[in-house]
Amino acid sequence: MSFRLYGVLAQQSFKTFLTYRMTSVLVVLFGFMFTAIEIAAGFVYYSFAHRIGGLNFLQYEILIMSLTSITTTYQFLFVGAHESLAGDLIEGNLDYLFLRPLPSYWYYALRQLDFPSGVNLLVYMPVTVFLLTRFPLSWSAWGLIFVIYVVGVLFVFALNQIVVEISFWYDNLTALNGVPEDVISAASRPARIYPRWLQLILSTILPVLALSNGIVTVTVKQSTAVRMLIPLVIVTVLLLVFSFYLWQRGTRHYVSAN
Amino acid sequence: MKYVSNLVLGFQNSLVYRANFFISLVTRLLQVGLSLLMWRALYLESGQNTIHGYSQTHMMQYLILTGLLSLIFTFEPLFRLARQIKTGKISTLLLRPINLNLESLSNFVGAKLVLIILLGVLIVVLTSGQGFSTILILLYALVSIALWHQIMFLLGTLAFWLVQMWPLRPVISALYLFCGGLLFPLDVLPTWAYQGLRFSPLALVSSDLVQTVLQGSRQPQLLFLYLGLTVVWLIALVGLSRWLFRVGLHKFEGVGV
Repeated sequence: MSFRLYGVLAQQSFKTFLTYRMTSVLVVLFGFMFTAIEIAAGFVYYSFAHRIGGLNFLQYEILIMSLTSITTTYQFLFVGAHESLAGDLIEGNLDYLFLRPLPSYWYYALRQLDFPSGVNLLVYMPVTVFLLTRFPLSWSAWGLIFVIYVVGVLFVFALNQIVVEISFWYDNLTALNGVPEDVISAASRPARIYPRWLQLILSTILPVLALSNGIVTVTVKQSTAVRMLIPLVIVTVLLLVFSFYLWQRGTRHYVSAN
Repeated sequence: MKYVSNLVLGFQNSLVYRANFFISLVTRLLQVGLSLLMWRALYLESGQNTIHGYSQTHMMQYLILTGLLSLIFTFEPLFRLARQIKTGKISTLLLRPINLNLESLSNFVGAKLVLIILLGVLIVVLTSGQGFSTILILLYALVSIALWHQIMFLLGTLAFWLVQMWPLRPVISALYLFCGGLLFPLDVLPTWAYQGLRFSPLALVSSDLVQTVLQGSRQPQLLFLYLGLTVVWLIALVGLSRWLFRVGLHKFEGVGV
């Protein structure tokens, strides 16, 4: 898929954003409300203790804001496609996709940008960076933060992509769609509050703790953050490959209903 | 009778899509587990045996009960109505001599029937020996289920105006976790916040109900107050939903008919 085509798709999404103004405004507001609630919960927790799981209040807020930045970037880039795949499969709308001389996997995944999430991101990113600047970080630390952020977005994409691709075989499995969101949200606390065995699982097999705690760990100990990043990279690559494989199998299994 | 048939259909549907039930169960348990771990860490780090009057055991009891309650309080009625509006399938329902609100409620109760019965048993066990209070708490729980459904139905009518409904999921989830007291009992909040939230619909159906079960007959006047307010909220939200639905129908174009 060329940059020119992506530009056209982005323009289309932006026009949709401007056309459905009320929806767009509400989506932006909902996004901010969600984050405000998470931050308020942090205030409550830290009114009882100065440190939780080795993190102080500022670090806890970095954890929340960095995770929110990662998930909001995913929403900005990919959520539009993921939200419509199950419906498109049932209604036979993928026919139009296969008629085009384009790699269907990437075309479908990238075809719609969610600009309201983009507006949220315009706030979350600077806030996260500002909070991080409260710590003396070297250039290599900033580089590491950037890598965790990019790999984190790809991880969330791959996880959600696999879940929605299951719709090729099972319809009405609606509860599954919320699973990545719930799993990520369940990891949105300081890593050390989890029991050791759970930390191990959530750092290696399903490295959601690296996703939530990776960036804030850079402010504590850079080498630990690197150790968290490695399984995240490996699992993300595996998930991406698997999601691509599932897409190939799924599209072969797909029968037009249109 | 038609609503009873619909309730049975909802129940049968929940048996057909068992995977949905188990997935929801696991994800809700994850959420409860997270709250328990967070509070365990808080007790450990603060070095105190009680926080805001809650011993660790009492806090865990509270969090487990609100977590179990959240298995019933899911967002299905919201997204079901939204789906019907978006796909235009609501047109066929509008032609039938049924009340869409009651149709949705009966479907929701049917889908959650097993859990509702389990909740009833749990309440009877936890409040055994309290006589009339037990009956009142059971009634309070049933009205709470109707109120929760009404909140979801009301939000579902937003589909007449909103193009995308997915952003509602995380924000309602967060609101429910915070205002429903799933992250912590509401009385640990500053007094002004607690007083502002304790009589909200989300608090009444979740946090207040659990506190009533745990405190039992010690504060009967509070039980009457919560039950009364839940009924008032229910009536108000039914009225608001009817109005919003009527206004929304004027915008509805019946695609898919």
